[in-house]
Amino acid sequence: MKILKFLKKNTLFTIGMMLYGLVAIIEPGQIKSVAYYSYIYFKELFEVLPLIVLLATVIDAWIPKELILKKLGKDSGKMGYFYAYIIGSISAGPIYASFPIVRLLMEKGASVGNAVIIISAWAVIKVPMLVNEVKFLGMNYMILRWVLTIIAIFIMSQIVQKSVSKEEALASKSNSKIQPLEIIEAYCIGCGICSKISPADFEIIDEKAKVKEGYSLGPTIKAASNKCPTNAIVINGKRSIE
Amino acid sequence: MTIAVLKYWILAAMGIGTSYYVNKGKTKQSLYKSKIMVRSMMMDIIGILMIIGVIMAFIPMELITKYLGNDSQLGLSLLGASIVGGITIIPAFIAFPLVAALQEQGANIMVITAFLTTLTMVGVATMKIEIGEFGRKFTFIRNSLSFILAIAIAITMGVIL
Repeated sequence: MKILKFLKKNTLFTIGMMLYGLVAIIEPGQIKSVAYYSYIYFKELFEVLPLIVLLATVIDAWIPKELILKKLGKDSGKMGYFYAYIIGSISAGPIYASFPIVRLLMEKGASVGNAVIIISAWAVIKVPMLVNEVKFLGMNYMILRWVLTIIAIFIMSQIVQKSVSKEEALASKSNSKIQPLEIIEAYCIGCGICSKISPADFEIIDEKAKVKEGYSLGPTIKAASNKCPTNAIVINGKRSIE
Repeated sequence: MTIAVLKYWILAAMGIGTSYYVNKGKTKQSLYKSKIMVRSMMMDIIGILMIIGVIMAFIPMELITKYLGNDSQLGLSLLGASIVGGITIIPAFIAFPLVAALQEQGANIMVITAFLTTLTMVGVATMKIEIGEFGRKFTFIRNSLSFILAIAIAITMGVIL
């Protein structure tokens, strides 16, 4: 049962294993050259991996994200577009990790258009990923796709801005009661950092962090929230990035 | 290892070294976040490397050329790749080697670009969360526009490159 759960969680790994199995059954002689190509690409990928990690680290540590976010919240005018692209491009994590932050920015004054820019740039333009793109598809390819994407995102933001009002975009949320401490389950990757920092308040159940009963809001919870790689820990309705 | 990559390595090492020197705590914390992110992608990375091996060595080139590189049905391939990209959720990090392998095996540049761009910009799987935050109208318009513009980007890329 445990193995099944593991395979279901790691879909790509399962597909890879199945394909290898298929090759082994159909043409066992080929498995060696298949493995050889896997190895070649492994080498390529791990050549750039450290650079990507380092870039992501430096960006996370040094770009004054809070400052830019503050500027975006107000009526930011033309510079707002620029800030929106920057915020999207330097942020880590999957597209859905941007949603709560963008919503909050909108509540604080960011326009619908800027919301679209942040979400889209967050999804497509990742500075560390550009290195990976150059590595595998070439410099010309990367630059061209980057420029075209920036243009496309701008067009999109203007269309959405004209067709959806801010009230419409913000009306959807059911005003659920704000908890003093909660974890957004969709964002949690079950890394266990929070339970390590603050074992009295967090525990990992089924690879997801859960708030323990009888937790007490203190500095360790705040620290865990700051260290959470996906900013999934919400204190009084606020994520650490805010 | 090529010289170009080595150059980047040194550059990055110097960057992180400086960062560490200026603010140890900040750098350590960010480095830790990055480490966790990579670790959570590990199984996906291994999986994609296995899939790439099979694409490169086992699936006949003609087959990939026929479905992903054939000019006579480019429109269909383009649409198919965009749809697959829109519903799939794999980290962009591992999508690059995958499409590079496909391209080497005969896939058209427009087709792989469409896949790459919809993969990240269109999120069918995350639509439910998006609707929850921004409503149906916003979500629907944003995702449809992303889909159309991704194809436009792909076609432009194909024409220029």
